[in-house]
Amino acid sequence: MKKAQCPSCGAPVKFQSAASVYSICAFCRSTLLYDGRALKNLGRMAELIDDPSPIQISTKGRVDKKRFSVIGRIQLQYDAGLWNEWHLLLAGARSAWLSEASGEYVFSERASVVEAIPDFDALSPGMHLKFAEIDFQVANLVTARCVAGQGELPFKVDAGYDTKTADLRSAEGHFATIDYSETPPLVFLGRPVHFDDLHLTNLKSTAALQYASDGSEIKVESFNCPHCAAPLKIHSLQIQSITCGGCGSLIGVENKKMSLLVEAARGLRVRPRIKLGTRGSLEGVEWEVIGFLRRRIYSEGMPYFWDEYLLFNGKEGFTWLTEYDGHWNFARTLSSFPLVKPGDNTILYDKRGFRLFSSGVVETTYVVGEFYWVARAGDTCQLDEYVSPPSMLSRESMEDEITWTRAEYLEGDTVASAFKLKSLPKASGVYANQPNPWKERLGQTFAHFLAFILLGSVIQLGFLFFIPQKKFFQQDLTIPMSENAAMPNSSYNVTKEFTLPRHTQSLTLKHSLNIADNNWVEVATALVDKETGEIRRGVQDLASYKGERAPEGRRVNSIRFADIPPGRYYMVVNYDAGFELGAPSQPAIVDRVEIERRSVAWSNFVLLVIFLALSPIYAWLRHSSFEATRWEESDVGDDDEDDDDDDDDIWDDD
Amino acid sequence: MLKISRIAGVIALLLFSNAQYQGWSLFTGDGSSGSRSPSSRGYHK
Repeated sequence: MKKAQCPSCGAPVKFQSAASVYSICAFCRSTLLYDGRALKNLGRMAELIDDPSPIQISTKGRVDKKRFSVIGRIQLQYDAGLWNEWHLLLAGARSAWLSEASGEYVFSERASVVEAIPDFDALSPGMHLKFAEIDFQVANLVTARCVAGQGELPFKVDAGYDTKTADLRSAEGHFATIDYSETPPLVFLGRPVHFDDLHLTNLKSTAALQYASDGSEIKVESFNCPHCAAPLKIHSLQIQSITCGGCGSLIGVENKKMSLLVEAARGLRVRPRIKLGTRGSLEGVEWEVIGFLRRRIYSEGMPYFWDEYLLFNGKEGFTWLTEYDGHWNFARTLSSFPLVKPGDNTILYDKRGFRLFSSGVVETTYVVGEFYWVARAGDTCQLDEYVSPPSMLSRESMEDEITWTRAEYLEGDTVASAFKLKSLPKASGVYANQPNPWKERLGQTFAHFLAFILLGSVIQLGFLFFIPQKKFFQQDLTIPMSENAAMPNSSYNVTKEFTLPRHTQSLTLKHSLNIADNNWVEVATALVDKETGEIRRGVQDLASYKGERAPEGRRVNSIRFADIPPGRYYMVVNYDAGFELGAPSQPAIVDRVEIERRSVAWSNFVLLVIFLALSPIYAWLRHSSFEATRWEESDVGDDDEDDDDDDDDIWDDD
Repeated sequence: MLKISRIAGVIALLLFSNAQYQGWSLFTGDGSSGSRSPSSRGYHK
């Protein structure tokens, strides 16, 4: 560490970082340059703008395992407000930066890149660049003006100098900034960090109140509308504009000063379903509704409107609640950008596939309340929505900026309960990212189907194993035939005896006959229990017509006898046989008679499968019907359709 | 619907098991119900 005295006022000046060559005296605000031998006074630095940042010089913190100390700051201003670049001192006297803008913190370090850096004017939002083997997309192109510097800095800062920067984001959460204030441009690589993950200590004492955990301790600034004197509130000094709910005037907010931007621009008055100022708890966080937008998009010539509510929590920052036709979504702006290539209708993000659902130009038609940018009625942007129910990714593309938000579907009852509302209109139709109620049921019914089929298979195999096929009797009987077609042949045969050793639940009697073309035989069989004399009868008709000959010229027919006790049996078989006029004569017909215990029928198993499949088939049809209704609302179409790709406009720079 | 599906599945399995035990089959007629016989059983002297 180097110590010296300010040449202007004599106050002590420290240089903690080896990279610091400039320092702004904390007492007289002289800009001091250390040239290796002495301090030179380059002039007085402009005053910083009072801002809500909790960080100050000497704040300490930690990112991952890197401890840092805040030793300097550059305050910049752009059309969306102020942001700070905090100069950090890491272990080993290395430098890093902590960017603070709109409640987002980004930790980055200067990087040497081998890739060529495009000119600022050649960049456009959404453009793909690669640094350090990481795919980035241009998120934001900013021309900012330096307001002032503070503490130790590695380069000279002049108040009022313009600097151009390009912010880039990757799908994995990396962040890059290209600073065009020097030649060649400087590249900084890093990542967004949540405020809690910075583990900051020695913060500004006034900031502690604003960053209380539940938001209820927020110090709210109150003032009156400069046009109609209606009372208004500012919940955070990050707020850049307020639209008065009384007269519709758009009021700009800068450094706690209000300026009337648009006077009494009230045409259509819209009543939000959730009033501004209402508090509610979602995802364990207490939110307050501070802003309301109504937006419009045209699809096939028809306008569609939806509402967006800006929610605020002092610690968590800003988030959104959107509503369309009773369908609600809870949305947050993303720090990491999904990787989307031109013409892609599906994107992979967070290990899920998202499919393009709608694309078009959106216009804000009504604004009331507080916003962290100057929100005006009439603002337009290109909106592309990708869905993977219950999530939705929305990309809003403007001239110099792209933002991504991720929304999660909420039931209306959840919103009503969270904000203690009496009731909300019921949802109508199917929304883009509304969860399919049949998805889970389909999975469960299919699981049941598989389980029952498995059980059925076990039962079937059990029967096959424990009740195998067994033949008890076989005999060939001959049926003599006359040549007189007018007289059917009748004959009577008694078979040999056979034994059934044990009770048989089902016994199959099979007759196999070699019937010539256009002959027929009616077989009547009596199964006789020799001991008891009990008879079981069966009648079968067998025939063979031209063109239907069975293999090997035999006709086969089986019948079943049930519940047969053990014992000695024989059969009495009566045949009535005949043939058509002109049919070839057949001197005799041979009938192979068989008695067997068949293995269990597979036809029953097939019937079981068909019956069990009805439930998952029904669930699948309902699931498909729900999805068809969802995609009817899409203005993009099916996977097989090629889009015209109006999206191409955002990729084509000129 | 899931409850009905489970109950129907259990009943289907029970019917299936009984059908297999009884030896029923779609493709095999029942000899005890022969249409030309005045009665399915009798006694042979």
